[in-house]
Amino acid sequence: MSHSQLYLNLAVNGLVEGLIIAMAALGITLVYAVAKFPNAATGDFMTFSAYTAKGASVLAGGSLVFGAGVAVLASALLAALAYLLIFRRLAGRKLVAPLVVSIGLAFLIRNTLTFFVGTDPTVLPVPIVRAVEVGGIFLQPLDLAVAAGAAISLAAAFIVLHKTPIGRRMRAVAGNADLARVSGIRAGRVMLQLWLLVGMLAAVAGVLLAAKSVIEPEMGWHLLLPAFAAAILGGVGSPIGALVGGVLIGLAQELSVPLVGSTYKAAVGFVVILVVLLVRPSGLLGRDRSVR
Amino acid sequence: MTALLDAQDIRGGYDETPILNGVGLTIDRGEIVTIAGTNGSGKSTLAKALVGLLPRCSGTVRFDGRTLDAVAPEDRPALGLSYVPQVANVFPELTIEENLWVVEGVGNRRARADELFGRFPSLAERRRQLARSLSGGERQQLAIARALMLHPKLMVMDEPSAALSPRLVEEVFALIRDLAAQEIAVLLVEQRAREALAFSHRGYIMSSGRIVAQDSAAALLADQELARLFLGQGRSNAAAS
Amino acid sequence: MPFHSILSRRRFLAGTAAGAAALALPAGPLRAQAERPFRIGALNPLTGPGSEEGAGMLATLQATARLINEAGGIDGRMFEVISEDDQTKPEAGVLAAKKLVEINKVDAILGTWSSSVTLAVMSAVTQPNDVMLFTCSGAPEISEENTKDLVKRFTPTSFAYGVAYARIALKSGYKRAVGMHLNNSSGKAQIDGFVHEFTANGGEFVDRIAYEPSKPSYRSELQTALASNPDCLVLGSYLADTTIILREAFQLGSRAGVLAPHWALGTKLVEAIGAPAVEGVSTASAVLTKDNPSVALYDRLYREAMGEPGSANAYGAMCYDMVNVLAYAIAAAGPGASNADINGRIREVANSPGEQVFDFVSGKDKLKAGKVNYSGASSLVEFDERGDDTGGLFSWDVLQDGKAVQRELITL
Repeated sequence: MSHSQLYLNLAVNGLVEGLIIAMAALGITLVYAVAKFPNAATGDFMTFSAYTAKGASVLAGGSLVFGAGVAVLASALLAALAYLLIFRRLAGRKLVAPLVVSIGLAFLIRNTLTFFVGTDPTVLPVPIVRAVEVGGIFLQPLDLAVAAGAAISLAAAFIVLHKTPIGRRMRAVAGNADLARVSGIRAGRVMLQLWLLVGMLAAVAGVLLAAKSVIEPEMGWHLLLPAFAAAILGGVGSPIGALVGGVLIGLAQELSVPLVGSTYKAAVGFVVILVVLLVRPSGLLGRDRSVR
Repeated sequence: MTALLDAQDIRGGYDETPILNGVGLTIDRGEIVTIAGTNGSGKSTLAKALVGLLPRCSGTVRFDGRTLDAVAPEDRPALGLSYVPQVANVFPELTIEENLWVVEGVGNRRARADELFGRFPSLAERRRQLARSLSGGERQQLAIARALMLHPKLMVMDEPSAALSPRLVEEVFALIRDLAAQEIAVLLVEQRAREALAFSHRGYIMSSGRIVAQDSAAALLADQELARLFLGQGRSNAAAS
Repeated sequence: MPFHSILSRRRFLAGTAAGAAALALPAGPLRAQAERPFRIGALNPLTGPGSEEGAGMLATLQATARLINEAGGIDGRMFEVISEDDQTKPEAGVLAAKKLVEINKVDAILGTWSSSVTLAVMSAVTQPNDVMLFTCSGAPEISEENTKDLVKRFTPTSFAYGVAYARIALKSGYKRAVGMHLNNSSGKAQIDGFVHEFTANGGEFVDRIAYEPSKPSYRSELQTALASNPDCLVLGSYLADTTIILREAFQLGSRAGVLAPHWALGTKLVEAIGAPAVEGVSTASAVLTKDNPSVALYDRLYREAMGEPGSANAYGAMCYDMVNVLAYAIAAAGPGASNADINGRIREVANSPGEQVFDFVSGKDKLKAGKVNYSGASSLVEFDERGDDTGGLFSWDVLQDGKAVQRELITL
């Protein structure tokens, strides 16, 4: 493989990794914009979805589609319960309260999963297929699935936010909660819809991550920091920002492997963020705390 | 005829510190009432209290025959009580038409929005643009249009003329007089008290969270002492009644 | 690992621990015990990457202790085995070790597997408290930090494994190798050993990549490694990362021969990525000594406890040897001996010269006659001055159709 071919391959890897980070960042950015706090349980919703998909697909004789479908429903339910039983009670409290509680929720989900399924890694029943080589660049069918999943997630988020009354209300609450109230918008209903949406997005991300990698209890948690970084980099509240932020971090990480070695590639992502935020504090596409 | 709005002994603030110390007022259908007073007198806080946005609040508010104590702020618009805040009174990241459509509880919201676009043609021209691209005057128009979506009986407006040029102030005040002509009552919190009182029916003057004077607008304007203390220097060309 | 998960694990294992302790006590008639029991803290990876081996290790420790107790113990002194799970994580391991030492007052900790667990437990618990530690971990730092000579290693070091991989690579005719390893002491040492032996014998070592654990993909690292066109890829890895790397290597159509650690190449790996993706992968595993009565006895013990041949788990054999060596050392130190005395007798009973003995039960009388030399199931058990076992033997295994097939034996 020539030098430039290597870097092109690394760029492809970075793009795919970045899309997964972007999907997680999308969930974070939406909750932050509307509910005004960083949800540290985002990764663990993904882990929960991965395990659910695995369990459901095994029960259905290996059907990945069935597994993914069940995962989406289960994750939406989990997110809705998290709101109804936990986050709703924290409405109006300072950001620290729901943030800390979400960390606790993350631990709770992770440890419950570990208790029942153990810590050994497992995989989704995805057939192993050789990559297609195009001019020295290797493309995996799974990469295309990840790209498609990211595209669908983003499109779904965009459509809901901008083409439906539900999304309009979410953006209103995100922009000005008091004004939304005096416009007759019920925050509770909007929040429930938000969490359902976020749960579904986390499921898509979790299933695709599981398909590409291995399923183990900390898989989502490990993605949390890059996902947060991507959300901040892209400007909190912007779904497009989440996509751009995620892809940039993914690319920076993978392209740096031959240069700084794998150990420091996570640091590279954060250096990128540092530089961008120094120049543009609200993130690449950010503005105030609303949702576009 | 019972008052449309009857507030009694309103006390409270944003935290333990009391800002309102026992305020009472009434408004009748179709009236324009101005609340005047120096900065820090609690005028804006009073407005928030009436629409249910003040965190700590006690006292009774009756609106259109119903007690509002147990009614959440999001349920008050449907009863006919609308609010135009002083700042942050539109959704900047929503388009102009979305700003109108997002109001809950409107029968046919698109039709109603189109009606309002009829009355605010400069908004109609830019209906698909984001609200944050509007100038100060247009923003105020949009804020008022938003508050009009639900056919209010009473509009509570917090310093609608703030940060507007003189010409725009006249436009806004003309708009307000129009509202009263349509039997919509307006409770106006205003810094430009003389100009506002010039077209109001009645007025209240607040100081340190209390009402210190209430009378017909004309009487308040005629009282030199009061005017000097609370109504500021005023402008030589007050808005025409 | 957060504290409350350890608690839940403890609740879960409390029953196991109680059961294990009960099993370790003799079923037969008790003699008048002049001395309190010798408490063994069994600290094994019952969960986590080491769990495939951990269960068998614990079962062996318990079964061997029970066997010795049933035959009268060591001159009437009985073993007691208390079990804890280190989860293959240093944080959990240290907490469990503290509990064993401070609450259960164990005299020795046996059977740690992961190097990072062993190093953490050494520095935080056993060395400060003068408790003996018998380990199966491979990192060279363990010997370097064994300043109080409390640690005995019953396995070849990771460096030695790397040397074995290099021998295999040379025998396979590879000329140009790259290494990828987990960024921990064990992974690094394996590659160090490989490089040392491979380059000393004419091989070309082109690149080494250290990667972090728990990443979703190692494709970039792999492609960077393969960019220099090696004919051989050496891995210093655990199961999760091996799963990802080998799957990605297969998907990329890599033709490089693969050498990977045996603990990463179990049935779980084959189940996860399929036999074709691991076809032809080579590994070195420390194997049991040949034609040694210890092996036969251990094998029988292991089959009874786990239903599998003893050769399936080399770490089980190490644990068998640990208990036997301990028994000989206690016997040699005599009644009323302190743990320091017992620790001082270990080389005396394990190393040559001396009459070769095997399991404690049949060989204990020989101790009265003179010096003995324990030869175990896992190796000849010869400790050097740093506590490392130098009597090991490796098997070169190749995965064919998802199963490990022995090709050759290798002595270092």
